[in-house]
Amino acid sequence: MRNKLILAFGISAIVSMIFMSCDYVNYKQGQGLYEANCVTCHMQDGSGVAELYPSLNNMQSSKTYFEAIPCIIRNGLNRQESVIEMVGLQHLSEVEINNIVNYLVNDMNKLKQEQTLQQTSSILLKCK
Amino acid sequence: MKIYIITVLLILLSMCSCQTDSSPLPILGRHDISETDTVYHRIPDFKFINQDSNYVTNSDLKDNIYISDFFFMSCPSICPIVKKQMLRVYDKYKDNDRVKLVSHTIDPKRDTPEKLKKYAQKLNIDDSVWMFLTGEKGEILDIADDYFVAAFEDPDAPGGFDHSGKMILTDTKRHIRAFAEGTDPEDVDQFLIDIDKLLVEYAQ
Ligand code: HEC
Repeated sequence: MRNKLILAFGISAIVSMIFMSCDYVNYKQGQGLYEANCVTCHMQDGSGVAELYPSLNNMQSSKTYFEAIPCIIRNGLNRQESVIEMVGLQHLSEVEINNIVNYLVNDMNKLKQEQTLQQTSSILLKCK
Repeated sequence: MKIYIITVLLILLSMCSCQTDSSPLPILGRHDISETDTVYHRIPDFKFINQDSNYVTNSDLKDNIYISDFFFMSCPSICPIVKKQMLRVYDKYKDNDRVKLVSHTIDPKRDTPEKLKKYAQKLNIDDSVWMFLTGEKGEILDIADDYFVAAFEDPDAPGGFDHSGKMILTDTKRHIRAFAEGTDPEDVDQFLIDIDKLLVEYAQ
């Protein structure tokens, strides 16, 4: 009886650990910065609002797209066809931007594409 | 044995669902009680312009219950979150002729009918169900008062306006029947129940 109980506890502990690891966030700082700066428009889960505020949670693995994100965060975006422009978030530092990008790509979208600080810095130098 | 447990669980579950309160929604706001009658707070006459550049007045809504909110297109703070919740309401009632949605911009200088039209198009909504209204700024801010929504210009606030993210439910007699905090999805869950409750009054 006691053995069974221990086994039951053991199994449930393992199962809950597996579940928790699914929700594990690698870029905690990036997550905090996303919540402080982006959720009002792009929503907590990155789902956005219809076509007004684009979703950020269904990114395809594309290098050109990832490389665009740091500049969008810093300088904003105002596409021809959009009704609302995104105003740049000038107060965010390179390190903070790098954290947000990594949170978006690796945690929210579960794509394994870590961007280094050097990469982000050189992208930011070339923003239009 | 198993079947008993399942039956008991089902009975318990059905008891939970009976818990919903069946009393009608109250009429909100100050009541003036005169000798003969109680005068309830009422939304006054208004005349605004919608996203198709047509006038909209109370008479266009006389057979509708409607959900309103206040926003502006360049709003950097709570508006998109509230819009997402308004979309929930829209999705639930878009096929019910009784229900309309009414969003007022508090930035009429920038949010012209043409821009509101594009905004509505990007939300993929039916213009006859969800109207986006603009007009004289003073009149918009006044009507916000009548809906008990704080809305005013404030150069220090993000985007230049300070306003609350309330969603307001008004009945066909222009009485306010319920509120929700549009930034709080759980509050909106309750609001959807309130709307259903009000619809029951028109079910006959
Ligand atoms: C005030 C609202 C607002 C805030 C805050 C905001 N955005 Fe945006 N964002 C927008 C809008 C609107 C667009 C679309 C602009 C356009 O298409 O012209 C956009 C577009 C984007 C895009 C491009 C999406 C695509 O479809 O290619 C990315 C990436 C993005 N935002 C990331 C962020 C990140 C990261 C943050 C936080 C650091 C952030 N945004 C904060 C409103 C906002």
